Amino acid sequence: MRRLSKWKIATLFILFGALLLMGTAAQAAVEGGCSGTVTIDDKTYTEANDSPSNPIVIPDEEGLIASWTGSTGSVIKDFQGELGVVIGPASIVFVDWEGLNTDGKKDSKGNYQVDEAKDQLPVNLVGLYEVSGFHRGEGGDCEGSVMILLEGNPLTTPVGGGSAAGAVLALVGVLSAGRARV
Amino acid sequence: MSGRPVLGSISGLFLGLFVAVLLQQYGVRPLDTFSVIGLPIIGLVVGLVFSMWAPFGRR
Repeated sequence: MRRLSKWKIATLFILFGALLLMGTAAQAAVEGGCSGTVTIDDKTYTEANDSPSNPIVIPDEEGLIASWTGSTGSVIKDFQGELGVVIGPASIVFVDWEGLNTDGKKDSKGNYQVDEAKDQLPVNLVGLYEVSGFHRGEGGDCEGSVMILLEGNPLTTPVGGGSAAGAVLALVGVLSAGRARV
Repeated sequence: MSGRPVLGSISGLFLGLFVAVLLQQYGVRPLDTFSVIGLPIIGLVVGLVFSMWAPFGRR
């Protein structure tokens, strides 16, 4: 009877986890009237690329240029903003900005070399990242998130290779724990 | 009769964490709250239940 209760608790945990998994299928796009595009490798992405099945794809190639445009919808003065990578319930900020916008600009555009960003990373990274951020000030408030996929072979990176090895060791541990003690 | 619940729990916890990172690395799912917290908890429970079940070495 007591063992049955433990099984029920374990089942509830797993069901709760499955519900969480389904509940995060829909992601939030950019809110507040802001919009933007980025063109990489002849493909144009927008703020609608905000789900794991529809990410902004950065190919594993050298010499890529990201051409971007951005619009705030309304004039935002005395602004500040930041972008961060979502890790669990927190966000690790990797860039922030602030300014006065005395010219009353609503639009901006530019080009960015993807290799420059990769050179700033301590290790070669691949995989799917949720990037969230905001841009707010007098006259407006925008926030949202997009999904970015860095293409590449995970097993050739320290994080991917280490995780694969760790997963195998942990699985061996779980299987060893299932050996009955007499 | 049971296995090693402490080993099963800790191994399951790390298995969930490593699976979360592998899912992120292979572009299946980002490191969101479910991956970072939910998967290790599920791994811990699975490891604990598996050790209580202890299907190996029975006579």
